[in-house]
Amino acid sequence: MTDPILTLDTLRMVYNADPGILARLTGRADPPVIAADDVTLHLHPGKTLAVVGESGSGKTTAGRIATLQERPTSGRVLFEGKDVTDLTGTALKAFRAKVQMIFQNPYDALNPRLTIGQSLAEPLTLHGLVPKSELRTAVLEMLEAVELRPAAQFADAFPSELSGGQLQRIAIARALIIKPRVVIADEPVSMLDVSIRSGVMNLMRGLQRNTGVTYLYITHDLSVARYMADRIAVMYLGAVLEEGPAEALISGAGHPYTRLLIQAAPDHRASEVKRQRIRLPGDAASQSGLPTGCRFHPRCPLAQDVCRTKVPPRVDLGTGQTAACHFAEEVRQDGLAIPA
Amino acid sequence: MTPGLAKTVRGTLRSLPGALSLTVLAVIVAAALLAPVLGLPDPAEMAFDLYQSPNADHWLGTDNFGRDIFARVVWGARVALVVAIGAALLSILIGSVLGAVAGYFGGWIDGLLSRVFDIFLLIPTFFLILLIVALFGASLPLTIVAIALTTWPRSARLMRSQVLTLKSRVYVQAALAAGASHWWVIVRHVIPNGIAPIITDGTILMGMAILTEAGLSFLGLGDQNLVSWGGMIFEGQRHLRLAPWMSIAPGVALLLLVASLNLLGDSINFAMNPQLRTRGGAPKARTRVAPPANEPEPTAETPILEVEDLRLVYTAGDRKIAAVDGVSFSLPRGGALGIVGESGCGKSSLGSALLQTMPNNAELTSGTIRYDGKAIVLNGKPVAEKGRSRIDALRWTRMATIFQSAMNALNPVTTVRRQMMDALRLHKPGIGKEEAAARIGEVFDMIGIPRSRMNAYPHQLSGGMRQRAMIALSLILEPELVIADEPTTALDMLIQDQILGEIADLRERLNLSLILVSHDMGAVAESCETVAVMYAGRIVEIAPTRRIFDRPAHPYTRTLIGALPSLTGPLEDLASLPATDTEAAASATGCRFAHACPAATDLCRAQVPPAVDLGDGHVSECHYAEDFAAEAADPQEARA
Repeated sequence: MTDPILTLDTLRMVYNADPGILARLTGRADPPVIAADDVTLHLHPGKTLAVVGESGSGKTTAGRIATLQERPTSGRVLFEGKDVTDLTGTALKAFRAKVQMIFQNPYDALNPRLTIGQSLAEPLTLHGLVPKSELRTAVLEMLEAVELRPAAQFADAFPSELSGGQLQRIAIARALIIKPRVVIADEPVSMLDVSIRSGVMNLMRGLQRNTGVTYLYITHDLSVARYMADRIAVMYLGAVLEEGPAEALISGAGHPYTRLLIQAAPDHRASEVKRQRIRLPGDAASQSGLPTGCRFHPRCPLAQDVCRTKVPPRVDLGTGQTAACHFAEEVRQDGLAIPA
Repeated sequence: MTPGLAKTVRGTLRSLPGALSLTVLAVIVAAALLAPVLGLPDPAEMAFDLYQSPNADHWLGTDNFGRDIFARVVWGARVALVVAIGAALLSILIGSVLGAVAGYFGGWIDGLLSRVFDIFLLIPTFFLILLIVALFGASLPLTIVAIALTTWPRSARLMRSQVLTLKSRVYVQAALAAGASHWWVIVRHVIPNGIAPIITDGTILMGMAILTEAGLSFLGLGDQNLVSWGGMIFEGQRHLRLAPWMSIAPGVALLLLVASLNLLGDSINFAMNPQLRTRGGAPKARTRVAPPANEPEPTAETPILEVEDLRLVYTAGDRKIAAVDGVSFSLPRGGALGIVGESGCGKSSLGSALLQTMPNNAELTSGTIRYDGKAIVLNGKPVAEKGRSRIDALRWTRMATIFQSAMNALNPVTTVRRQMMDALRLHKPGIGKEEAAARIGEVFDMIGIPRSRMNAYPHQLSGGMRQRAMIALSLILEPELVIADEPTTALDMLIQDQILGEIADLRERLNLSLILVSHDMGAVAESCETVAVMYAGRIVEIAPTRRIFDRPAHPYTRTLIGALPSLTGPLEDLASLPATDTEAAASATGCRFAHACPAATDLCRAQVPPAVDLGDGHVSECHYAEDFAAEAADPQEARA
């Protein structure tokens, strides 16, 4: 495999780590929140890594750190092999030109007072990549690339005149117009109607084929991850529980949590018989009061004594798949059948 | 001009106060600008015709020096406007920049600047100006600066609160992620989007500035070389009995200008802020009708819910939008119907129409709804019996609803248990306290909330628990039919699956009938026996669940299913659909899906498709329904 283009190396992110003197004195300090705990992810050039997780899993935090919108409490961000964790000033600006971001909410992604053309030209102007006289041409070309035609008409429109799907295409265009190497996409289709999600996903896949851009695709939906990604990382309460090639991970998950996610995904292709649901013992735990041992044990239908006391190792399941579970091999073999 | 700005301008011009105040302002501004070329007498020229009452030569009379008052009022407008505009501009400039900086950077910068705002707000305007006049003498520019210095914190505070929300907006984050500097972001993205309420406030500020200047001049502290309305009133009051017009004319001018500025501010605010307009106005008294004569008694075979040709129309301004446009279906007792469709297809409107909980600007224009054989809506009108709407007697007790957002649907200041107790007592007045408590405990067990959480307030529960509480609340009165509108949309995957499991479980145990409104085809597929697909206000296809997924006979359903990624089966390219053009759909002469349909023909564009009955309860509104059904039956061909 080629060298990764972007690596998140043993990231740890703690909010409210230091509540301040006043809060401590008054006893009103918020407990520290561990948003990312020993997160390591590799992005390979031209490929897509999907990070899947529920709310509070730390997937968005991972994305924000990857774009250096936030700096980790500890750990490193490596871009093309170089440590970029503490970049500032012009070096940071140069990094931003290489690593771009697409956000979840397309309805809020564009400044309502600027035309689409002005919004798209902004990144080019910021990085001085295109002379002023050629801005318009570059904008129109990009609009064509995201299949918004007639491009000139879209360039002169305001965001309020466009639909959600069109707005997300513009947001994608804005991220790609400066030809970044990596794009972090945080739930880019979750706010769109089901009927137009696939159009945006297909567009992103097509653009990747044409430009070789690398995606970090953040989603809560495993079926979307399967469609978009080469590799999938499953996060829960700030940690990566399982990581591996998309198909291998979905057909042979080694972590009970991944298994449960797969089972929970509503599937219209499911057979006539309603699936048996496992009633989970607990609700989602919070990031500020992590359980001892394995962080998933309070909700895990397979939890044993060892899970409550010992943090599970990262088990290598071969073919590049790893799972942080004491029973990873068994789960991959037998699924959620309770081991003796 | 952005569409939002254009809309605000149009809205302001269209409202009576807006148009009126702008007219008055235009007249005053024009008079002030044209003062030198209007051929008026010199406002400073003294003559011997003192104290003349208004006449043909001097429209507003003359003053104690024989000066023409009309000319002086017109020239005085210049001073008033210069002060107003100068002070407001300066105040907004200082205020919005400092407010934006404070809000944007937060932390100690915000703390420091906010204290500075407070200090400046404490300085009494008049006192500061008196001090300045005493130190530097009376002059117009100094007055303007002094007014601005004591008013800018107003703008600053407004801008700060705007920026606090603006800085988390996605486009601000996106600009930062694109590599923009903070100053670039503030100037290009934050201030332009936060300035609107400050401009509105600016009109009020202008009125204040004019009054302050007039007050100063009234006290004799204005610039004596300029004609000012305040100065005129000051002089006039000494001759009030002899020549009252001397103070009345500038007084009225002052009143008109300040009043129209304030009125303008209000109308801009109103035009800009749609929330100030009440949605659809006051609730309309809906005409109720008597039940039809000789309704047959319901039997076990009577469907729990029957809907015929239901139409719901929203009135938005002068536009009418038919959100539900001729929907019919029937739900057998104990059955479950899933209604799927994209946002804006009318599925939620349909849900609200069934329970008669539509917003005030919505109206049923036709249709009949029968609950257990009894009409609750007849030809679009609610049916009343013995002075009470039938739906009132059914709602919650027999027909309950589960909303999408449990946080908004539960009362935040009361415990969950209390809310259930209230519901029980309201609908079952005879119920004893212990019996009620037992019933509540029973429902909590049923839905899987530990009894220890019974006395929790809604905010103390997790999202999943809240949604369970919402379901418990809807089930407390043992309804027969539950209408769930996107009950799991805001929840995490595992929780969503659990809640769907609970609903399925309850259906079986309580023989509940269910209508599940959702955008999620998968959720509907697992929970319902029948699926209705809505598009642009109509049910375009309805069929037993397996049938609709295996043999969809409407091109819209087909694309919708083809657009869903799946975890099972081979990985295929997903179909995609152009966004629905609601205007095109509504104005279509033929099939409303024709504008987006991959298989549309001339027939589709010309003729409304019939409801084609394909047997076994499978109905599709497509000219080519039979072809599609036959084609889908052969999977080899369907793939191609």
